[in-house]
This record gives sequence, structure tokens and C-alpha cells, in this order.
Amino acid sequence: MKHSRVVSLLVWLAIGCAFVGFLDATYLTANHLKGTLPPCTLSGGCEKVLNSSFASIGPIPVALLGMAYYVTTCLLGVAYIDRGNPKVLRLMMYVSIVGIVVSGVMVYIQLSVLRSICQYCMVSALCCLLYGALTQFAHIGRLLSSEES
Amino acid sequence: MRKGKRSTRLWLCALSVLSISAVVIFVFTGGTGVQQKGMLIRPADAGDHSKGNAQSPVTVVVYSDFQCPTCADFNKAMQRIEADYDSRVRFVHRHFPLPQHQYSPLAAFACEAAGKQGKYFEMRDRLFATAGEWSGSSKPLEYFEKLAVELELDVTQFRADSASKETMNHVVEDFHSAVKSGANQTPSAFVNNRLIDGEVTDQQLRRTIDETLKSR
Repeated sequence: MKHSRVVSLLVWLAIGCAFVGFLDATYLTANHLKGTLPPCTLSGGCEKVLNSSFASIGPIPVALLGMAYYVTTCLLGVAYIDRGNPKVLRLMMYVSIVGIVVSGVMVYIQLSVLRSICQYCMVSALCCLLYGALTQFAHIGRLLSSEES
Repeated sequence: MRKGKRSTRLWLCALSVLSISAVVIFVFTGGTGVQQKGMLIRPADAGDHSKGNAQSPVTVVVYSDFQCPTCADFNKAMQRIEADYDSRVRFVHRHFPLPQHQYSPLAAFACEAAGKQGKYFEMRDRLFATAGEWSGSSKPLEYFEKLAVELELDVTQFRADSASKETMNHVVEDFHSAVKSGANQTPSAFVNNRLIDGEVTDQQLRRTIDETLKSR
């Protein structure tokens, strides 16, 4: 398989991760705005995390910011697939670093401050991490492919 | 030309998938989730009057009305519970003055004013213990000032704080948070933000606290 095809595949996978993150963040935002609590069958800590002061920044739910983040990452991936511009891929990588750092802070807050785990927030953190890793690999693949040509 | 069409299709497809999935989630979310009714919408925070272990993973928030006889009885149980679980649980008291009790908001203001001088819970206990006396009095404010003197408070300050807008807002906020959280009776108790269904009793609250402590 050619490097350029591998890069496309990795970007498609990254878009897939961003889309899963988008669905997750949208679900949490909808629950937040409707005043409901999502079922928390795996971790049991959603109630504490989602009702904590860390769940919003002023009047804005953090999940809504997550939605905006995942829309951006999805569309950046689509932009790369569309244009094949390496600058877009680099931008995806930088954006993913922001996502990983913010997710890391959120996971730290859950584990150390709130001492509760919200499964939906962990899914989001995992999506950020995978998106970051995939864009990193795609970037490396892109470099190899340009060397190849 | 063909590439242009492909590009347009790709963008349209991406935007459609994102918008449609967002709309579907917004429309269907809520049915599967637990309604927050029965969940404390304003978890305990630094603005609350609390006692016990501030670092505890278990917080009990009690809403009560100073003119409600059941609340006065329950407060005696609360005092015992607060003493028994002092090192393990954080206790928060909030106001839920019912509209039919004309002096209840004034008592709540007095309690808040005492809290400003560090005697919130002492005043709460005295207000409940003497509710039969000031409820029937035509001058409850004088009675509250008498209690303030007994608690060695600065009475001038107490009077000013009792009538301050900040105090009133605090009580109103408590009331609204009770209603929005699904509390429909006094007293109402929330353990880790979850409302205890039905009438709250000494035993029931202890059982819920024990179960919550065990699960932590």
C-alpha cells in the first residue's frame, strides 16, 4: 500500500474518532441543556462529575465546548481528505495537542479532585487521544510519502 | 470539474452527517436519562453553611422551614446525626420557608445573620427549639434579637444583616434550588445530591448515609 493511501486511511480513522467524540459531547450537551442525567452504568460517577462546578465554564457547558472541538477536528479531517494539503494535517496535529492537554486536565480533575469517573468524559478523552495519535501517524506517513516521491 | 463536484459532495456529506446526528441526539435525549428532578441542582458550595468533615465524599443537604413542626422534630434527630457522623460526613443546612408560614422567612434571615457572626448552627437549633414561642408572638424580630443576645452576637450587626438584601437573596436562592431540585416537602434531605424519597426520618437518613459511605 502506498504511503499516501495509508495517510488517507489514518485521517479517515481520525475523522471517525472525532465523530465518536462529537456524538458523545452532543449527548452530554443535550442532557445538560435538558436537565437530565445520562445513565451511568459502568463508572457510577457521572452524577458527581456532571453536576460539579467543573462541568461548566460560567454559563457554557464544557460538553458544548467539546462539541465545537470535535466539529472542528472532523472538518479539518475532511479538509485534508478534500485538498490533501500538508498544512491542514499539521494544523490537525496542533489542534489535537490542545485536545489531549484539555482532556488530560479533565481526567486529572475526575481522578484527583472529584474522585469520580464519568464514563462519557473518559470516552471523550480516549477519542482525543486516538485522534492525536492517528494524526501524528498520518503526519509521519505524509513525510515518508513526500520522501518517496 | 469532476474534482470540484467530488469536493462539494464530500463537504455536504460531512456537514449533513454532523447536523443530522446532532439533531437526532437532541430530539431523543432525555428519554433514557434520569430526570434531574430529585437531584440537587445546586450542589453544596462555599456559600453554604456547613459543619462536619468538609473533605468528606458524602454531603448531606437538608432543606427545612423554621415554622414547620416536623422540621423542629427532625432537627433534634439532625443534631444527633451531626454529632455521630461529625468526622465522616459534611452537613449543609438550607432554607425552604413555605409560603403558609409567615414568620419562617424572618427566622431564616435571622439564622443567616447569626451565620455572618459564626453562629449559624447555634441559631438554627435555638430557632427550632423555640419555634412554639416566636411563632405565636406578634413581635418575632424582638424574639430573634433576644436569641442573638443569648448567643452573644453583636445585635446591631445582627439587625443590619437580618434586613440586608444579601441575606434575603441567599434565602430566596435556597428556596428556588429546593423547588427546582424536586423537594416538595419540609424537611427534605439530599445525600450526595440525591433526594431521599418521602418523609425523611432519623433511621432512613442514617441508613442512606451508611450506604453512601460504604460505596465510597
